[in-house]
Amino acid sequence: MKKRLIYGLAIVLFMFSFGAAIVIKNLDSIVMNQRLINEQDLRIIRYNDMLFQLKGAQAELYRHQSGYTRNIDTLVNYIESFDDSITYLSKQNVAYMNDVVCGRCHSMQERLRSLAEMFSEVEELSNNYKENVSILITTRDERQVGFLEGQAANTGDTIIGQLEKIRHAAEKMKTEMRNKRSVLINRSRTVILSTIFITIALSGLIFMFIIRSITVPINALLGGIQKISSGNFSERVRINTKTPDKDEIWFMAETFNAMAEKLGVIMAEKDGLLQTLTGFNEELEKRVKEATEELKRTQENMVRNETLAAVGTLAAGIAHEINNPLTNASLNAQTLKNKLENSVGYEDILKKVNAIGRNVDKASLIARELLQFSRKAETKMEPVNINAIIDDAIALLQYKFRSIRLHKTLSDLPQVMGDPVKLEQVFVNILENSIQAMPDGDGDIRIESSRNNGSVNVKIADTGIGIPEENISKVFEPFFSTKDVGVGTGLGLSICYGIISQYNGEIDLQSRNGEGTTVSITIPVADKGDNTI
Amino acid sequence: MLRSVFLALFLTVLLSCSSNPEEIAKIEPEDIKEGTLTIAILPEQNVFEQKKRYKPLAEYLSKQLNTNVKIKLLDSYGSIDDEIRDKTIDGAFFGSFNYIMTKAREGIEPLARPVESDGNSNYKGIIVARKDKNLSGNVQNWEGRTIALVHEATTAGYVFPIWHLKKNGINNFKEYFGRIVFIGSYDAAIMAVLNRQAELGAAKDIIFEKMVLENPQIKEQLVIVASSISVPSSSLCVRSNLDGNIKIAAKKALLAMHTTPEGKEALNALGAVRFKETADYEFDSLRQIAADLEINLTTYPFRHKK
Repeated sequence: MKKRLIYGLAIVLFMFSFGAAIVIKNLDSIVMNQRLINEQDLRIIRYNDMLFQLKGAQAELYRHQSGYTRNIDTLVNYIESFDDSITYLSKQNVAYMNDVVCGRCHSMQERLRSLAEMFSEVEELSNNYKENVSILITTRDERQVGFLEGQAANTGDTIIGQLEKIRHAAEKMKTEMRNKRSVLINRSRTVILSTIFITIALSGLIFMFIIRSITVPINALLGGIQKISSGNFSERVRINTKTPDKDEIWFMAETFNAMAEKLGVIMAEKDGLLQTLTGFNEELEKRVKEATEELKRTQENMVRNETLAAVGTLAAGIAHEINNPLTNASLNAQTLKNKLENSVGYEDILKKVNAIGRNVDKASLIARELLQFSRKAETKMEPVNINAIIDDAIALLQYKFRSIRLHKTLSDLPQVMGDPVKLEQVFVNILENSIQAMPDGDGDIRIESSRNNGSVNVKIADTGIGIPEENISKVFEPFFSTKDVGVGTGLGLSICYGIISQYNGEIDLQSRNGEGTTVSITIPVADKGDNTI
Repeated sequence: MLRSVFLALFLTVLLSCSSNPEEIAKIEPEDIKEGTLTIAILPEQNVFEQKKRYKPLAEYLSKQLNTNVKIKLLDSYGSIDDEIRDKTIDGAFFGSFNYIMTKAREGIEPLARPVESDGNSNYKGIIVARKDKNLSGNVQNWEGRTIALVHEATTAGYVFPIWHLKKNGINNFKEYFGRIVFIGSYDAAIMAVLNRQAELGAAKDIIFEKMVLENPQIKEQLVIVASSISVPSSSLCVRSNLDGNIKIAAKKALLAMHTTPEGKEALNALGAVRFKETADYEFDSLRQIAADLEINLTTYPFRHKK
């Protein structure tokens, strides 16, 4: 762009200079012509002076020779002035000729040369005239006087004649110069006006071209900028130029395009990052939620464990306290039965004593379960095979399955650390619950075992009646039960929870009312060499 | 930036218009002098040459004397006495013979005369002839010839030729020659001989030498056949009744001419290097010649002749 501007400016300046040169040349010609006219005027004045001087000298000479005056000063002055004019004009002839040569007036040069030659003759005649006059005014020889008077008169007349011719020629030349000047002025006026008009017109065209060549790409660039600023980073500015490596606007556009591309990339990265951040945020939220739930679960577990521990302690205390009276009551019931074997109404008393015995047994069972619930301190840890324990538990409850379909998918599992008896009890409790959840004896129980990283997972799912949602969080609480009164103690799942917790495992229950229940157990894989909790 | 360019152009145009027009030369009051001192110049040579020679001297004296010193050209050696007597001139560069005559008749005082580069302030009268005429100093050969003389009031142009003839036993000067032409100036006399208008010519040696330098033909074709004693060159002499202060000042100015640039310029025009004082006694030898020729200086008739 800079080059375009410089070239344009250079062209305009050149045109103005060219135009100015033409104007100056024309003016110069006019000035030169006027100078020649002025010089010619001066020369004509001089010629007139010279004629006056010489005629004056002639008159003075006549007066002197006639005896009217002896004073020769005036005569000498006239001739001196005449001489000075000759000297002056001789010098001027050279300068005048040079001026005319500069003015390129060839015809005038020829005429001036001829005039100069005539003038040289006048100069020579003037010298002779002076010599003759000088002798004439001093000599007393009559013969000489007569001769010199004639000579002086003739020479004087000749000089006057030549001068008049020269003057006439000079006046004619002056008239011609004046005519030429008028022509020159008229022509110059036309040339100057034309030059000015053409220069201005061409300059205007060039400026328009330059301005257009600058504003069009700049407008394209501005359009591109606006689009990109509105978010369209795919927009690109294209500048057509023949010299891309020297065009500033092309550079600007390319730089701009590069900037737009980078911005596009940055924006895409930003969007990606934003998306990633959003995803991360969502993931974070999810993890926070999970962690919160885990924390909640843990908290619940902790509360539960504490509760269980507290209940367990209470249960242990109660079990210990009632165990003895229950044993005593059972023994006394048996004694009573023995002693009243032959008494009247024994069958009726036997029913009642048997009922007492059954309740005592039931209470004893409850005490045992309480005791069992509280017994966590002494747990035997040994590597066990979960699948084997599952099979054992199934075997124990085989008679209760009836029409319930059992589906086993047991994977090859590593051993876990635990008490096989307790673990068996866990599976027995859960299976019993599943069986009890299908009172019609019809349904399905699916048992799956699998390995998941460092733990063993067991899932027992049934198609029983399910558990209402509001009860799900309570199922592991001691003495909670959804069964009828007198059916179960409500400690089964609590015991399972306690046992699994002891092994650093997790037990979870999912259920939908009317759709079945799924119990998931996770137990860490045995760490070899560790037998105790 | 555009504004700066326009401002620079505007200032340039403004400054170029502010040049002062050429001032017209003023005439200072001190250039206008009162009084005039007129000095006459005799036609020793071509009158135009005479004016050229003495004009710078007049300008110099004008400045020094603070008066208008004017040069007056005389057409004849014979008119100087009338001019002095009529006080139409205040002084003149007198030829030696003119001086002793005017001195005898009117009151004039010699002031100074120019000295040439060789130290010479005198001249000799000479008689020249064409070589091809085979004329020599033997006056016997001169009989019947045409001689170009200058004026009866000149030493070299009249007195010396007569004295030379008388010295050689010829007393009838006017009848001896075939024709006597009084030509008025020394250079004309020499040119008359060169141009064969005369066979003999009377001149000053200093003028002859000067003309030889300007025209080699003179040396080639002419020969000096006789020469006189040496007499003082043309001296500036003034009227005795001229203001004494002017006389003193003029003499002082002349004698100091060679010390100033303007003075040197004026001396150069005269062909001299300085002025020296002229004393009356220096003309005694000429007075003796005049006495030998029985010329009464107070009654010698010359002044009415051109």
